[in-house]
Amino acid sequence: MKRTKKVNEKKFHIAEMLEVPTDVALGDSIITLTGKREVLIENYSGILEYDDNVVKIKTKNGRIEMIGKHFKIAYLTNEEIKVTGQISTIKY
Amino acid sequence: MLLGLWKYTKGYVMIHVSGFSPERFINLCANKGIYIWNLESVSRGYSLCMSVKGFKMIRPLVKKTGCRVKLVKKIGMPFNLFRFRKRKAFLVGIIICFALVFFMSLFIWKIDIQGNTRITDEQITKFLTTHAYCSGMWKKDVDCTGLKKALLKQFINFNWVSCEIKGTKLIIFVEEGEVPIEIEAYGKPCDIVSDKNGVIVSIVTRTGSPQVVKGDVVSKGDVLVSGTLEIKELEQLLDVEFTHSDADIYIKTIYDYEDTLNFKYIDKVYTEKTKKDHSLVLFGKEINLIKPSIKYENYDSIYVKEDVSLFDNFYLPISIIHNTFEEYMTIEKKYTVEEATNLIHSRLEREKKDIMNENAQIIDETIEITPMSDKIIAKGNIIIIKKVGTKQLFDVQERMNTYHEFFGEDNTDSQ
Repeated sequence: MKRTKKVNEKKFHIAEMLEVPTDVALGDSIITLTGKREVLIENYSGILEYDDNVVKIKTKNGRIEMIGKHFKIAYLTNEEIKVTGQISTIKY
Repeated sequence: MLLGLWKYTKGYVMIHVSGFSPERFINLCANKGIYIWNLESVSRGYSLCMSVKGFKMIRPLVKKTGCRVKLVKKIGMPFNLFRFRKRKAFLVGIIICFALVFFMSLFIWKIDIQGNTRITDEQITKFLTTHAYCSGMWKKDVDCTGLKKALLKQFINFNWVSCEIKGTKLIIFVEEGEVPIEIEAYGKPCDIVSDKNGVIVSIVTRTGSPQVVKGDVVSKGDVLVSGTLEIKELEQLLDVEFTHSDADIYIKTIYDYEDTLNFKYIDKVYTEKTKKDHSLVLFGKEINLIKPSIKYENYDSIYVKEDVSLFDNFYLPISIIHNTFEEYMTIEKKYTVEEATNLIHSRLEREKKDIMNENAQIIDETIEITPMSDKIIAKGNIIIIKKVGTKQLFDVQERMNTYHEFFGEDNTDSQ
């Protein structure tokens, strides 16, 4: 775990030096929020849990947890996922 | 919306997934590249939509995850068509419809003439009909270049014609120019003859021998400039030549003017009562289903024909005629003397303008306006200065005969 953290930090530094976007270099996910009704997550790896009030999404560098109401998944492909509903919390 | 239409045409299914870990099933689907939308969590599982293609791929995934998948709904055109497979008449209808549209598109259904200002559409259409160009002709029979040439030949003042077929419409675009001036036969000898009575104001002769001078009174038909040139030396005729005479002659002439205006006149008063009639024209035959009975004594009928087109340029042999009948009453009215005087004055002004437009100059006018009991009369004359003279060709041989002595000698000499 420690080792991977170190590797990641090095990668981050290199990416910063070369001015390469981190989502490309490190596989970070991009989260686009539209108000509090819509969220689009790119670069995700899978759904961990989903129901009306909670969506947990696995990404390469950790998980994203969203809490809210009336969650629906508008669409999902193997690269991006769009969730609609009333978002109240986003946790990493 | 476009995406929705695409989904509908391709067909999709709504399924219900339940079991131990439906999330895992969804992740696997996503990894396989199956597009999933409208994922909702319902009691004991998820409901989601996926394409038919995707649905055919999920069987191994279901087995792997141990989920249970239930088909809820089939949505889309392929399913609808499948449902209609036994309705043969429907299929035949669709085929006939397409065939008919295709067949109709093989004809010209509308001829659109643009750009003509002096020659009416009717004249051109009439010419086209004589050359078998009419609505309902085969599209393949249209020979654009030939038609262009024929039109240019027929109508002299067309400078440029373009023919084009757009859909089922034949567009003829014309560019009109001036009528070419007729080239005068300068080689042929002629006289200049007066076409009006009057007094000569000025005469400038370029060729020919003038027969009148300034101040002469001429009447219609008099020769003003003769094309016969007598070459004399001390009253002795040396030679006779015939030329094409050319001169500018202005005469002072009297233009008679008379105009009467009755006080009584009939005016149209619309009663605002209208009736409308619509009829359908199919292949040139009018079908009128509702014929309103018109009990109006006097009415204007306004006729509007509308061609039906499927698309912008795909005209069909169908048109709709809107006929509106507007009733009016004829009421006999009377002008007051003042109104009538004004009216007759304005008519006179218009007449004078017309005279001026004909390159004439008004130098004097004496017009008396006398109101009578039932009408008003304007009578008098306008004195104008106007260019006169029409060229009149003559027969050289005949003219020669009048100089019989002179030419007779000449002939004997040559013999």
